[in-house]
Amino acid sequence: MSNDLDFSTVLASTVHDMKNSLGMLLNSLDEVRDSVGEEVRGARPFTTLEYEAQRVHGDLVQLLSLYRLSEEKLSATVEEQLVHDFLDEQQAHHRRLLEGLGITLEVHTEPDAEEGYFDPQLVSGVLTNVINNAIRYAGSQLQLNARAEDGWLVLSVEDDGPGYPEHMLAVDFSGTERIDFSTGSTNLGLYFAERMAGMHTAGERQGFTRLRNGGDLGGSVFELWLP
Amino acid sequence: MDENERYNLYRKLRFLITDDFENFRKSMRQMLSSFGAEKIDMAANGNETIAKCSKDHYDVLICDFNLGSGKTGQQVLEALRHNRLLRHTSLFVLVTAETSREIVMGAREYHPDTYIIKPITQAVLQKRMDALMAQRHALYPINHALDQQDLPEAISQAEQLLQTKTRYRNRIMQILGDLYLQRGTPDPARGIYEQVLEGRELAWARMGMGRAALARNALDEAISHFETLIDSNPDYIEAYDALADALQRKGNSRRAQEVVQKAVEISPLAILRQKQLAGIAASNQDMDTAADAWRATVKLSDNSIHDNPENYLGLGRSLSELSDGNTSSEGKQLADEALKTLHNMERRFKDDESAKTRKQLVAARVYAGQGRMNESRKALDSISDQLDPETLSPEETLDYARALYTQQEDGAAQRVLNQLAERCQDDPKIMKAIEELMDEPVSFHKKNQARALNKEGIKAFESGELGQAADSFSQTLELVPQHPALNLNLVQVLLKNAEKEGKGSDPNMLRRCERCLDQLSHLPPQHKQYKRYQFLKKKIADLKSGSNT
Repeated sequence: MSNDLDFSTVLASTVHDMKNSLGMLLNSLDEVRDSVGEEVRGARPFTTLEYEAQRVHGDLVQLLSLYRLSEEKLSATVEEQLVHDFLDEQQAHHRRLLEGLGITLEVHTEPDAEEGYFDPQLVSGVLTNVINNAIRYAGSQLQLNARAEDGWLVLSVEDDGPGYPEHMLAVDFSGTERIDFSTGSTNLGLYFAERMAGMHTAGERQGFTRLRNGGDLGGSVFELWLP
Repeated sequence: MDENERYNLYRKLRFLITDDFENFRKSMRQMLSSFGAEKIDMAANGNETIAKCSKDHYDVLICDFNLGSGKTGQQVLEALRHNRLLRHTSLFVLVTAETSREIVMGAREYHPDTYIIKPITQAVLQKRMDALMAQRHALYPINHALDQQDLPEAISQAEQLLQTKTRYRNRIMQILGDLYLQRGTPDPARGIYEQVLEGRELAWARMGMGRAALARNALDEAISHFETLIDSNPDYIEAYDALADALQRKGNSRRAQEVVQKAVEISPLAILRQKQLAGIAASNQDMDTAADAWRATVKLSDNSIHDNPENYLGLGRSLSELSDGNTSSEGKQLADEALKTLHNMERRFKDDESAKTRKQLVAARVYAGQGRMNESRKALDSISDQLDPETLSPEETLDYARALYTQQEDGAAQRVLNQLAERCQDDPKIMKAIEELMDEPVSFHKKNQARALNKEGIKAFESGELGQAADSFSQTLELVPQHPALNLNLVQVLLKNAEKEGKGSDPNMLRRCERCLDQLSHLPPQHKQYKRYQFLKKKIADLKSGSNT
């Protein structure tokens, strides 16, 4: 028996297993909600349970993607997407939780941003994590928007919270050197988003992310620019 | 879609939910009825699903990937497509809790209309189904025509739809290109793909360009398209298959094998590709790869519609090649695996008489290859009443001849093959197999040795070192004494060498040549070396009579 355990493979397969288990757990949670009364469903312990489970699920998906990326086993399957349908589905994914938390999430697709070209699973992974993060800081409103700019498709998640702190706006996520991963998961999340965006290319153009404050709701604005 | 529209639409459609968990079936049914669905059927496993689909028609199938011990959702879809039980207008939704690459890649190959990853909430299901329904509605005229098997009508519907303002423009162009190729008109198909590629590099359009080139037999162009595609989309599995096809048509079966091997690595659950790899590898004399691919094929046969004795025989044959004459513990192990595989086949296909016969034919060879001659003879004796060369199928006859050769009954083997050659003159594939077998009726190991020596001989001959070439060919002939081309090669080298040395009618040399030609006295006139044989025979005879006078 060899002692040379390939630890990253062990981690990856365990994470895979955890993610599937958590999926089952979230499914059950969905069923439980239908069988309990409003007073339980809207109560803090229940929404916390659901929110944190969803966050861990999103983190595990992110972790697996980063692992596959490092193993060079991740590639983008770029296909034509009907943007509004896609964003609607992202909204639906969070709807029950947001209802419980009393937060609204609106989807706006501008007429010139009806079509996009991207890998739905990769982009969904990014948006899920950004939305999960925004939920934490939002007051009562979130927006999921799509617009076209200079031939790019721009998907954005906006909230009415206090906005990104100054030091985060300054981070350049295109390389890993200057990013401090020790301060929590947010930087890692943004690094992940940048990498997933970068997997989308068309000709010379390569996808990227951008952070700013303001927007329609006056809080933080996360933008995913896709070629 | 508003509530009312949705209700009216779902009410009319027939749904089938497949999952091995009752809870999941119930919750899925509950969600669908809340959208308005009334006709909802359920199945707990793959076979039940297929049985239901052969009896009734369903508009929407929602099927889990993991169905417990029987067929997987992927195999269900494969079977439904293979048996044409799924209409073009129907939707197949694959549900999976798994996002592992193997499973996703495998499932994608049979093109479910969508796949949904668990956990599924009602809201997400509704959005996804609504989008799917809207697309189904928009594409209905095309798919309906396809269900009527009316290709021209489907094309005309697609062309008309493209004239209208539609959000499915890209999808329709993709379908139309495909239909043009099906109709055998690659030029308009290429027109569509070029138009798309001008705007953006999309995988399906690049794939289409390659397929259109393939249809025009422009192999180099096709290869370049497929390589471009694989470069930018390494997971685009169809591109590997098409590239391998193009390479084989160009006669480059080594590279074709590499390409299929890569595809198998990415998507290992597709049984037909494993089988294809086994075939290519065997034709490339790469028996280790062939055996591995047959092993995978047999493993994937379980619950598959592609389960048949041929898979087991393929594995048995490749293992018998590998173990032939190899009595080390490794060779023994391979032979045991071959026998076990054949045994499993017999048990699995109890009612198949031909499977029984072929099992014994291959088994006889495996035994003989291990020097277990008694068992080998017994295996043949047990089917002696089946061994009439007139009634055996060509493949069975080839197996029979191989078994006889391994038992060193060369004469009997040749008789069987000659009879077969008479019967199958018009079948070039069988004729080629006969020829190869007669040329080199020896084990895989010896064949490989012979090949290497033969190569050396040719190389020496080309650089003018005739003596060395003659040595190499002679050594090769010790391994395969009756090989026609080799014997004739040696004769030519000896003649040329003697001429060079001015001893063109040296009696020793001539005797040696005659011995070579004697080996070929049974060469049938249809053999591709026959003319050359006749020519050299006459030449030797002339030289001999010249030296006598």
